[in-house]
Amino acid sequence: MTAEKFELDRVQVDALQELCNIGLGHATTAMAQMVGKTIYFEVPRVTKCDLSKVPALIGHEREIVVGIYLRFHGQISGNILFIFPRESVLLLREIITGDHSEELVFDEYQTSMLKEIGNILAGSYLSVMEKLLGMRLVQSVPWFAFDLAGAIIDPILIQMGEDADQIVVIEAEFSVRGSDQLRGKFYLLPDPTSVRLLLKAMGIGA
Amino acid sequence: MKKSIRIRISQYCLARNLEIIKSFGLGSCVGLVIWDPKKKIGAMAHILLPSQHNSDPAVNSAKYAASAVALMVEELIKAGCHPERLVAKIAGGANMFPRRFNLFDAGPGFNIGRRNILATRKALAKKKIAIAGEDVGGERGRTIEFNPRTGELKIYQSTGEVKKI
Repeated sequence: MTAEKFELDRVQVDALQELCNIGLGHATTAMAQMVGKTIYFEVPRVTKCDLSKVPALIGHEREIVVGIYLRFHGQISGNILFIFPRESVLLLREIITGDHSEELVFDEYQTSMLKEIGNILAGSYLSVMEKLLGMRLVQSVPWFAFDLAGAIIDPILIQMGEDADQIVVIEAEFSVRGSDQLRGKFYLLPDPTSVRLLLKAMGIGA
Repeated sequence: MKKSIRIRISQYCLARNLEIIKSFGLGSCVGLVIWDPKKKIGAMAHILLPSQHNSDPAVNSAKYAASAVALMVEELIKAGCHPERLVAKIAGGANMFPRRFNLFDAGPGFNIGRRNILATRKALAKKKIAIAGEDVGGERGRTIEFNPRTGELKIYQSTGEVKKI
Protein backbone atom coordinates (compact mmCIF):
# COMPACT_ATOMS: atom_id res chain seq x y z
CA MET A 1 0.00 0.00 0.00
CA THR A 2 1.33 3.42 -0.84
CA ALA A 3 0.62 6.69 0.85
CA GLU A 4 -2.60 8.28 -0.28
CA LYS A 5 -1.99 11.35 -2.38
CA PHE A 6 -4.54 14.10 -2.71
CA GLU A 7 -4.86 17.80 -3.28
CA LEU A 8 -7.61 19.94 -1.82
CA ASP A 9 -9.35 22.33 -4.15
CA ARG A 10 -11.10 25.54 -3.15
CA VAL A 11 -14.55 23.95 -2.93
CA GLN A 12 -13.26 21.17 -0.68
CA VAL A 13 -11.45 23.61 1.61
CA ASP A 14 -14.63 25.69 1.88
CA ALA A 15 -16.71 22.63 2.67
CA LEU A 16 -14.34 21.42 5.38
CA GLN A 17 -14.30 24.93 6.82
CA GLU A 18 -18.07 25.05 6.88
CA LEU A 19 -18.31 21.62 8.48
CA CYS A 20 -16.00 22.83 11.23
CA ASN A 21 -17.94 26.07 11.53
CA ILE A 22 -21.23 24.33 12.19
CA GLY A 23 -19.67 21.76 14.51
CA LEU A 24 -17.86 24.36 16.55
CA GLY A 25 -20.99 26.47 16.74
CA HIS A 26 -22.62 23.65 18.68
CA ALA A 27 -19.53 22.83 20.71
CA THR A 28 -18.99 26.41 21.84
CA THR A 29 -22.66 26.71 22.77
CA ALA A 30 -22.15 23.72 25.03
CA MET A 31 -19.07 25.36 26.52
CA ALA A 32 -20.90 28.68 26.96
CA GLN A 33 -23.51 26.87 29.06
CA MET A 34 -20.77 25.38 31.22
CA VAL A 35 -18.89 28.59 31.93
CA GLY A 36 -21.84 30.99 31.75
CA LYS A 37 -20.11 33.25 29.24
CA THR A 38 -20.48 33.82 25.53
CA ILE A 39 -17.86 32.02 23.52
CA TYR A 40 -16.69 33.21 20.15
CA PHE A 41 -14.68 31.36 17.61
CA GLU A 42 -12.71 32.45 14.63
CA VAL A 43 -13.24 31.28 11.08
CA PRO A 44 -11.69 27.81 10.91
CA ARG A 45 -8.55 27.34 8.88
CA VAL A 46 -8.01 24.31 6.70
CA THR A 47 -4.41 23.48 5.93
CA LYS A 48 -2.85 20.58 4.15
CA CYS A 49 0.75 20.43 5.18
CA ASP A 50 3.79 18.35 5.83
CA LEU A 51 3.83 16.46 9.14
CA SER A 52 6.95 18.33 10.24
CA LYS A 53 5.15 21.68 10.02
CA VAL A 54 2.27 20.68 12.30
CA PRO A 55 3.97 21.37 15.69
CA ALA A 56 4.47 25.00 14.62
CA LEU A 57 0.72 25.26 13.93
CA ILE A 58 -0.16 23.95 17.39
CA GLY A 59 1.84 26.36 19.47
CA HIS A 60 5.07 28.04 20.38
CA GLU A 61 7.96 25.62 20.77
CA ARG A 62 8.67 26.66 24.35
CA GLU A 63 5.10 27.04 25.49
CA ILE A 64 3.70 24.52 27.93
CA VAL A 65 0.02 23.95 27.38
CA VAL A 66 -2.82 21.66 28.33
CA GLY A 67 -3.93 19.26 25.64
CA ILE A 68 -7.10 17.17 25.66
CA TYR A 69 -7.07 14.53 23.02
CA LEU A 70 -9.73 12.18 21.67
CA ARG A 71 -10.00 9.80 18.78
CA PHE A 72 -13.15 9.09 16.83
CA HIS A 73 -14.01 6.05 14.78
CA GLY A 74 -16.72 4.91 12.43
CA GLN A 75 -16.94 5.16 8.67
CA ILE A 76 -14.27 7.80 9.03
CA SER A 77 -11.72 8.14 11.80
CA GLY A 78 -9.53 10.88 13.09
CA ASN A 79 -8.25 12.94 15.98
CA ILE A 80 -9.64 15.85 17.95
CA LEU A 81 -7.30 17.96 20.05
CA PHE A 82 -8.02 20.92 22.31
CA ILE A 83 -5.14 23.12 23.39
CA PHE A 84 -5.52 25.53 26.29
CA PRO A 85 -2.81 27.98 27.36
CA ARG A 86 -1.79 28.01 31.01
CA GLU A 87 -3.75 31.16 32.00
CA SER A 88 -6.90 29.88 30.37
CA VAL A 89 -6.73 26.64 32.30
CA LEU A 90 -6.38 28.54 35.56
CA LEU A 91 -9.42 30.59 34.68
CA LEU A 92 -11.42 27.63 33.47
CA ARG A 93 -10.65 25.81 36.69
CA GLU A 94 -11.67 28.85 38.71
CA ILE A 95 -14.99 29.20 36.89
CA ILE A 96 -15.90 25.56 37.20
CA THR A 97 -14.50 24.55 40.59
CA GLY A 98 -14.13 27.90 42.36
CA ASP A 99 -10.46 27.16 43.02
CA HIS A 100 -8.55 30.47 42.99
CA SER A 101 -5.04 29.14 43.44
CA GLU A 102 -2.35 30.11 40.96
CA GLU A 103 -0.71 26.77 41.26
CA LEU A 104 -0.85 24.70 38.14
CA VAL A 105 -0.67 21.20 39.46
CA PHE A 106 -3.24 18.82 38.18
CA ASP A 107 -4.69 16.32 40.56
CA GLU A 108 -7.04 13.55 39.56
CA TYR A 109 -10.11 15.74 40.06
CA GLN A 110 -8.86 18.65 37.96
CA THR A 111 -7.52 16.43 35.21
CA SER A 112 -10.84 14.71 35.09
CA MET A 113 -12.69 18.04 34.94
CA LEU A 114 -10.61 19.21 31.97
CA LYS A 115 -11.03 15.87 30.24
CA GLU A 116 -14.77 16.14 30.71
CA ILE A 117 -14.79 19.58 29.07
CA GLY A 118 -12.96 18.05 26.11
CA ASN A 119 -15.44 15.20 26.11
CA ILE A 120 -18.48 17.50 25.98
CA LEU A 121 -16.96 19.75 23.31
CA ALA A 122 -15.91 16.84 21.13
CA GLY A 123 -19.22 15.09 21.67
CA SER A 124 -21.28 18.05 20.51
CA TYR A 125 -18.94 18.59 17.59
CA LEU A 126 -19.12 14.97 16.49
CA SER A 127 -22.91 14.80 16.83
CA VAL A 128 -23.13 17.61 14.28
CA MET A 129 -20.73 15.79 12.00
CA GLU A 130 -22.83 12.65 12.31
CA LYS A 131 -25.96 14.52 11.26
CA LEU A 132 -24.33 16.35 8.38
CA LEU A 133 -22.46 13.36 7.04
CA GLY A 134 -25.10 10.78 7.80
CA MET A 135 -22.77 8.41 9.58
CA ARG A 136 -22.26 6.98 13.04
CA LEU A 137 -19.14 8.07 14.86
CA VAL A 138 -17.84 6.75 18.16
CA GLN A 139 -15.52 8.78 20.32
CA SER A 140 -12.80 7.46 22.57
CA VAL A 141 -12.27 8.44 26.18
CA PRO A 142 -10.41 11.75 26.45
CA TRP A 143 -6.70 11.84 27.30
CA PHE A 144 -4.91 14.59 29.11
CA ALA A 145 -1.40 16.03 28.82
CA PHE A 146 0.29 19.10 30.25
CA ASP A 147 3.45 19.65 28.27
CA LEU A 148 5.20 21.31 25.34
CA ALA A 149 2.75 21.76 22.46
CA GLY A 150 5.12 19.98 20.10
CA ALA A 151 5.46 17.00 22.42
CA ILE A 152 1.70 16.66 22.89
CA ILE A 153 1.05 16.42 19.16
CA ASP A 154 3.82 13.83 18.72
CA PRO A 155 1.86 10.62 19.36
CA ILE A 156 -0.92 11.87 17.07
CA LEU A 157 1.54 12.62 14.26
CA ILE A 158 3.18 9.25 14.77
CA GLN A 159 -0.13 7.48 14.22
CA MET A 160 -0.89 9.54 11.14
CA GLY A 161 2.68 9.36 9.86
CA GLU A 162 2.32 5.65 9.29
CA ASP A 163 0.03 6.38 6.35
CA ALA A 164 1.17 9.72 5.00
CA ASP A 165 3.68 12.55 5.01
CA GLN A 166 1.08 15.21 4.31
CA ILE A 167 -1.95 15.67 6.52
CA VAL A 168 -5.04 17.85 6.69
CA VAL A 169 -5.37 20.11 9.72
CA ILE A 170 -8.61 21.91 10.48
CA GLU A 171 -8.14 24.45 13.26
CA ALA A 172 -10.05 27.22 14.96
CA GLU A 173 -9.43 29.43 17.94
CA PHE A 174 -12.17 30.21 20.43
CA SER A 175 -12.35 32.72 23.25
CA VAL A 176 -14.63 34.44 25.69
CA ARG A 177 -15.89 37.70 24.28
CA GLY A 178 -13.96 40.76 25.35
CA SER A 179 -11.30 38.80 27.15
CA ASP A 180 -8.11 37.26 25.96
CA GLN A 181 -7.83 35.27 29.14
CA LEU A 182 -10.03 32.36 28.38
CA ARG A 183 -9.16 31.00 25.00
CA GLY A 184 -8.32 27.73 23.42
CA LYS A 185 -7.70 26.05 20.12
CA PHE A 186 -9.58 23.29 18.43
CA TYR A 187 -7.96 20.88 16.00
CA LEU A 188 -9.54 18.25 13.84
CA LEU A 189 -7.07 15.95 12.15
CA PRO A 190 -8.82 13.36 10.01
CA ASP A 191 -6.79 10.20 9.49
CA PRO A 192 -5.02 10.32 6.11
CA THR A 193 -7.04 7.33 4.94
CA SER A 194 -10.32 9.08 5.87
CA VAL A 195 -9.91 12.39 4.04
CA ARG A 196 -11.22 11.03 0.77
CA LEU A 197 -14.18 9.38 2.51
CA LEU A 198 -14.95 12.56 4.38
CA LEU A 199 -15.02 14.59 1.17
CA LYS A 200 -17.13 11.92 -0.50
CA ALA A 201 -19.66 11.99 2.35
CA MET A 202 -19.96 15.73 1.80
CA GLY A 203 -20.63 15.09 -1.87
CA ILE A 204 -17.46 16.72 -3.13
CA GLY A 205 -15.17 13.72 -3.35
CA ALA A 206 -12.60 13.53 -6.11
CA MET B 1 29.19 33.40 17.78
CA LYS B 2 27.60 29.98 17.84
CA LYS B 3 25.45 29.10 14.91
CA SER B 4 22.31 27.30 15.88
CA ILE B 5 20.68 24.83 13.51
CA ARG B 6 17.16 23.68 14.12
CA ILE B 7 15.73 20.40 12.94
CA ARG B 8 12.10 19.39 12.65
CA ILE B 9 10.33 16.04 12.61
CA SER B 10 11.78 13.65 10.01
CA GLN B 11 14.84 15.81 9.45
CA TYR B 12 18.51 15.31 10.19
CA CYS B 13 21.53 17.56 10.01
CA LEU B 14 25.31 17.56 10.43
CA ALA B 15 27.13 20.07 12.64
CA ARG B 16 30.74 20.89 13.42
CA ASN B 17 32.91 23.55 15.06
CA LEU B 18 30.84 26.27 16.60
CA GLU B 19 27.53 25.04 15.33
CA ILE B 20 24.92 23.58 17.64
CA ILE B 21 21.85 21.58 16.66
CA LYS B 22 18.51 21.85 18.43
CA SER B 23 15.25 20.03 18.25
CA PHE B 24 12.17 21.29 20.07
CA GLY B 25 9.27 19.44 21.60
CA LEU B 26 10.26 15.80 21.45
CA GLY B 27 7.38 13.79 22.80
CA SER B 28 7.15 10.21 21.65
CA CYS B 29 9.63 10.98 18.89
CA VAL B 30 13.29 10.10 19.41
CA GLY B 31 16.16 12.54 19.09
CA LEU B 32 19.28 10.74 17.94
CA VAL B 33 22.81 12.10 17.93
CA ILE B 34 25.77 10.35 16.30
CA TRP B 35 29.18 11.85 16.97
CA ASP B 36 32.83 11.41 16.07
CA PRO B 37 34.84 12.57 19.14
CA LYS B 38 38.08 12.99 17.18
CA LYS B 39 36.71 14.94 14.24
CA LYS B 40 34.23 16.73 16.49
CA ILE B 41 31.52 16.36 13.90
CA GLY B 42 28.07 15.19 14.87
CA ALA B 43 24.65 14.66 13.37
CA MET B 44 21.18 14.85 14.89
CA ALA B 45 17.92 13.34 13.68
CA HIS B 46 14.31 13.77 14.85
CA ILE B 47 12.83 10.31 14.32
CA LEU B 48 9.07 9.88 14.06
CA LEU B 49 8.53 6.16 13.53
CA PRO B 50 10.32 2.85 14.11
CA SER B 51 10.08 1.49 10.60
CA GLN B 52 8.58 2.03 7.25
CA HIS B 53 5.09 0.74 6.63
CA ASN B 54 3.43 2.32 3.71
CA SER B 55 4.72 5.85 3.33
CA ASP B 56 6.42 7.00 0.19
CA PRO B 57 9.95 5.60 0.41
CA ALA B 58 11.44 8.44 -1.63
CA VAL B 59 10.87 11.15 0.94
CA ASN B 60 11.78 11.85 4.54
CA SER B 61 14.18 9.06 5.21
CA ALA B 62 15.08 10.43 8.65
CA LYS B 63 11.45 9.76 9.52
CA TYR B 64 12.33 6.15 10.42
CA ALA B 65 14.89 4.89 12.91
CA ALA B 66 16.73 2.51 10.59
CA SER B 67 16.96 4.80 7.59
CA ALA B 68 17.91 7.76 9.79
CA VAL B 69 20.87 5.88 11.25
CA ALA B 70 22.00 4.72 7.80
CA LEU B 71 21.74 8.22 6.34
CA MET B 72 23.55 9.88 9.23
CA VAL B 73 26.42 7.39 9.20
CA GLU B 74 26.81 7.79 5.46
CA GLU B 75 26.96 11.58 5.73
CA LEU B 76 29.38 11.48 8.66
CA ILE B 77 31.74 9.20 6.75
CA LYS B 78 31.53 11.52 3.75
CA ALA B 79 32.52 14.35 6.09
CA GLY B 80 35.64 12.43 7.06
CA CYS B 81 34.50 10.62 10.21
CA HIS B 82 35.62 7.08 10.93
CA PRO B 83 32.82 4.53 11.40
CA GLU B 84 34.61 2.87 14.31
CA ARG B 85 34.87 6.08 16.29
CA LEU B 86 31.16 6.91 16.10
CA VAL B 87 29.14 7.00 19.32
CA ALA B 88 25.46 7.74 19.80
CA LYS B 89 23.21 9.46 22.32
CA ILE B 90 19.45 9.23 22.36
CA ALA B 91 16.66 11.17 24.05
CA GLY B 92 12.87 11.19 23.87
CA GLY B 93 10.38 8.39 23.37
CA ALA B 94 8.07 9.52 26.13
CA ASN B 95 4.53 8.29 26.62
CA MET B 96 2.63 11.57 26.30
CA PHE B 97 -0.84 10.25 27.05
CA PRO B 98 -0.30 7.63 29.68
CA ARG B 99 -3.11 5.33 30.82
CA ARG B 100 -4.95 3.50 28.10
CA PHE B 101 -3.63 5.68 25.34
CA ASN B 102 -5.16 3.78 22.53
CA LEU B 103 -8.44 2.20 23.39
CA PHE B 104 -9.74 1.42 19.94
CA ASP B 105 -6.71 0.53 17.91
CA ALA B 106 -5.75 -2.99 18.70
CA GLY B 107 -2.09 -3.85 18.72
CA PRO B 108 0.22 -5.39 21.25
CA GLY B 109 1.86 -3.07 23.77
CA PHE B 110 0.73 0.13 22.18
CA ASN B 111 3.43 2.45 23.37
CA ILE B 112 4.82 4.36 20.44
CA GLY B 113 7.54 6.09 22.39
CA ARG B 114 8.94 2.78 23.55
CA ARG B 115 8.74 1.32 20.05
CA ASN B 116 10.78 4.25 18.76
CA ILE B 117 13.45 3.79 21.44
CA LEU B 118 13.80 0.08 20.76
CA ALA B 119 13.96 0.57 17.00
CA THR B 120 16.65 3.25 17.37
CA ARG B 121 18.75 1.03 19.66
CA LYS B 122 18.39 -1.84 17.23
CA ALA B 123 19.39 0.28 14.23
CA LEU B 124 22.48 1.52 16.09
CA ALA B 125 23.47 -2.00 17.12
CA LYS B 126 23.20 -3.12 13.53
CA LYS B 127 25.75 -0.45 12.55
CA LYS B 128 27.86 -1.36 15.62
CA ILE B 129 27.55 2.10 17.13
CA ALA B 130 27.75 2.22 20.93
CA ILE B 131 25.24 4.27 22.91
CA ALA B 132 27.16 6.68 25.14
CA GLY B 133 24.14 8.16 26.85
CA GLU B 134 20.38 7.97 27.04
CA ASP B 135 17.54 9.98 28.48
CA VAL B 136 14.50 8.14 27.27
CA GLY B 137 10.98 7.18 28.27
CA GLY B 138 8.98 8.82 31.01
CA GLU B 139 5.88 10.90 30.47
CA ARG B 140 7.28 14.34 29.71
CA GLY B 141 8.38 16.18 26.58
CA ARG B 142 11.94 17.28 25.95
CA THR B 143 13.88 19.87 23.97
CA ILE B 144 17.42 18.86 23.06
CA GLU B 145 20.57 20.71 22.11
CA PHE B 146 23.79 19.14 20.85
CA ASN B 147 27.27 20.65 20.81
CA PRO B 148 29.61 18.75 18.44
CA ARG B 149 32.70 20.37 19.97
CA THR B 150 32.16 18.77 23.36
CA GLY B 151 29.80 15.96 22.39
CA GLU B 152 27.41 17.14 25.06
CA LEU B 153 23.69 16.59 24.63
CA LYS B 154 21.69 18.98 26.77
CA ILE B 155 18.15 17.93 27.57
CA TYR B 156 15.58 20.49 28.71
CA GLN B 157 12.68 18.61 30.20
CA SER B 158 9.29 20.28 30.07
CA THR B 159 9.31 20.23 33.87
CA GLY B 160 12.19 22.74 33.79
CA GLU B 161 14.80 20.18 34.69
CA VAL B 162 18.02 20.27 32.62
CA LYS B 163 20.13 17.18 32.05
CA LYS B 164 23.45 16.70 30.30
CA ILE B 165 24.58 13.42 28.80
